[in-house]
Amino acid sequence: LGEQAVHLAETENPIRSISARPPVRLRRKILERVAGFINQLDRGLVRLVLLLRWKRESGAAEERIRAFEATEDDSAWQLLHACTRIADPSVKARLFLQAMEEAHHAEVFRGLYEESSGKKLRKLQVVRKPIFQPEAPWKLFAYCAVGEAAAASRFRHIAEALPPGRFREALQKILAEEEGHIGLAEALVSLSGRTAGEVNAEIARIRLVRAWESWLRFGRGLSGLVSRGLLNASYFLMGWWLRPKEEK
Amino acid sequence: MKVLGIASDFHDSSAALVVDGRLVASSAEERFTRNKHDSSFPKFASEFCLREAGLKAGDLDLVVFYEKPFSKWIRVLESSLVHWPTSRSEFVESQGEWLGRKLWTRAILAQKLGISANRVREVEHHRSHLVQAIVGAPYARSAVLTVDAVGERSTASMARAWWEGEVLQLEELGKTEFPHSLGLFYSAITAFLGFKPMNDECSVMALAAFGVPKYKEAFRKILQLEANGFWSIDPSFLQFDRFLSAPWTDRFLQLFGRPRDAGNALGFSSLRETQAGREDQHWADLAASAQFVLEEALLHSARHLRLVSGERNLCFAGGVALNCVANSRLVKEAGFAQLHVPVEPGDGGASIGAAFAGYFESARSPRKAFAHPVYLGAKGNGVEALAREIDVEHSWEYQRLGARCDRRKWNVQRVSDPEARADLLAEALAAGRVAGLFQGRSELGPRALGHRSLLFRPDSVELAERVSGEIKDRAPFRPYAISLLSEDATEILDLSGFEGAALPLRLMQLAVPVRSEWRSRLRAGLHVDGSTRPQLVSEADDSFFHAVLCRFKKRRGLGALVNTSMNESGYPLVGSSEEALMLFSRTSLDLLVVDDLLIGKE
Repeated sequence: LGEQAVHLAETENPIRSISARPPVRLRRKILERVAGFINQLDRGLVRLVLLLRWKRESGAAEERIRAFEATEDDSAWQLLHACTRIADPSVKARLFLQAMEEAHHAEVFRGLYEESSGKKLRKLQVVRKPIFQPEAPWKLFAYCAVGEAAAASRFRHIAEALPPGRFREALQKILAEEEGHIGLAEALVSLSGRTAGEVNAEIARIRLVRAWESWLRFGRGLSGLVSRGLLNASYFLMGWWLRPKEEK
Repeated sequence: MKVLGIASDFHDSSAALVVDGRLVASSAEERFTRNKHDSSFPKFASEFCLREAGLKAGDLDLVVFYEKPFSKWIRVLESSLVHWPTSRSEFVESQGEWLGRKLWTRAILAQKLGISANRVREVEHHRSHLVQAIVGAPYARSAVLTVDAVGERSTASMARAWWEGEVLQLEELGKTEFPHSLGLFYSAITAFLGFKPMNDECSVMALAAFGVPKYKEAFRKILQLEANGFWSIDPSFLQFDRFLSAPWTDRFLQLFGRPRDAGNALGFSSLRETQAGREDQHWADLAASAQFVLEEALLHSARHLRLVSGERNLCFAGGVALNCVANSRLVKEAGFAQLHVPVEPGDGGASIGAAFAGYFESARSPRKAFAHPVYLGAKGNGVEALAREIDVEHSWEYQRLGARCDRRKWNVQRVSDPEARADLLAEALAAGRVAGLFQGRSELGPRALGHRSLLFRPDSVELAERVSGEIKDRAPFRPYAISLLSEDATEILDLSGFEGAALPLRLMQLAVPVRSEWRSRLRAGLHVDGSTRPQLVSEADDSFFHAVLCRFKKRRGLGALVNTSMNESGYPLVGSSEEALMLFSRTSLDLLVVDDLLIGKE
């Protein structure tokens, strides 16, 4: 299966070939427009963040590189985790080799961080939530296809906005490799024997889940801000209240 | 009775399962998540423990958490208010975590495991350590010492323990409380020297060998020994309630200068006779001085405990018990006949203590439990089909990775006969190859003891440098350890004074001098002071590893190998055989043994 997937990934655009039939033209057009708009919005946001934070705040770019390292490392873990649970040796091998590439990407980001900050990278601890479901392995590939596409798009936008240099070069190289992963993940989905409806539904579900997770992250950030405010206030109140009488 | 012990939310999360007084399985969470010192809820480790016993969470009689979060929260709250109004960031940081999650541990554990909160209990942190220290020891009665950073409030405790029939009896003999913490003292020095506290303490211990304790008098002012067998920390030098920012005060900085910049690599090497890093001497002297006073304080406690308990055997646990140089001094100078240190004495093993503490408190007719095995972690999968499937020459990933990974072609062979397998491995090692040994269930604790090990010849400094540079990205001042045949130990090691250390010598828990006539042949596994951290391997402990050493001895005249943990820099010991295979494929490792499978590179 792994070999077939490689062949398919190299010769055609597998997921699009199954998910494209039978399209309702208007709906597809609308979806493409929405996707294009979101893409442009992301590009603009990336440029803004680069301008406002990375160029002004020392360490902001390094923190972003550190986060990329953690994301790539988590991808490697997800693939390796799936690899330990899949029986088909050729699919296992594909996952293993992709995990190796993701681990390499994490290594590249580590190198960039250390070069740029002059410090050894202290890894961020990512809470591992396995995406792989033993009863439906193809869903992992669908997730990879969507996730890698999102990561590739983000890397592309950052690379476009960065001045020439090591960081940009590294992102472009990683971007090319991530695009290879998208093709392979799509091929594995298409070879799983699922119908177009199932694949489309799963992809829509994954996109919704990702959007929901982003929303939750945003919500957590916001509530974190509020709770920090409350904690700051309670710190001063408690401290003042607990002070010895003579100090008051 | 089935009891699951859980340690989490600080560092080194772990789970341990005790069924009818027998430790069935235990593992650190990091082995499953590849997050070194993972502090998250040990989801994978718990699942592994239950799977190993064929149980579901609903079958558990009890889940025991290794400390009491509420008591700890009160201490953290007090600490962050002591320096009002300048401790705002510490308060907000810590209380955000505590109020958001840590304080509700019991409910969270119940929810994550899908059981009723009534079945979740909490035991005091140092009680977890006390029980952990005893249950693995083969003594009918003993004195127990636990020393770590901090639990709820206690930072060290002393007790006497004995078995009354099948029931464990514990009599507490004393304790000391926060902020008087030996563990935090050493961690503060770790941070001051530019390393990561609660993580790189071993680096301070390694660095100490390059220095002289010229600041010991200054450190004695900071860490003062007390008549109750413990110590006190002078808060005008170190303030542990400000650990998140910088625990050292201006007075400390006046004595020792600014902290070391972590970006500058230290110039020392454990493999060289002459050191290039003389400009770093100040840091080495600081490390040596901190190590000196730590040993002094531990000896002070142990001698006191020997007197007040009247016991002849000492069980020692808590994170400080990972300091093998200090352990050696305890063996030789504390006055006890025997020393036992659990295989994972830190928080990673506290889940074992918590599980047994719960078991002894709740079981109607508890069964005496001691001397549990070392290899209780997870097994690997069969990776033969995977290894055969990977086409190094033609796979597109290998093509793309190019020179960034080892592209030598693999040769995969199954060798079912352990004798023949040991012979092939020994032959490769004797020929100067670097091999990974992944066999059976994983060892508990942070040290590779022949089940998740990288091995190579001990006489080759070049090999050690290659492993440090190409595989492990390891700081050159950190020495390697040696595994050797237990029958050859007295010939090779200077074991005078170590008569009471049979157990720690099997688990790499002591630093022992190597006899001068053997030093050149073991150079790659020695520190600059001529000592090593040995693992004495007997046939009863590990028949395969013993066979490898015997066959290596036939070829090289010495039954010893350098043994270091199978991991890359920044990652924990490999957890799965697939992970071991990844390490093999990404690095210049020459040979990998996964149970009965040999994978070599041409």
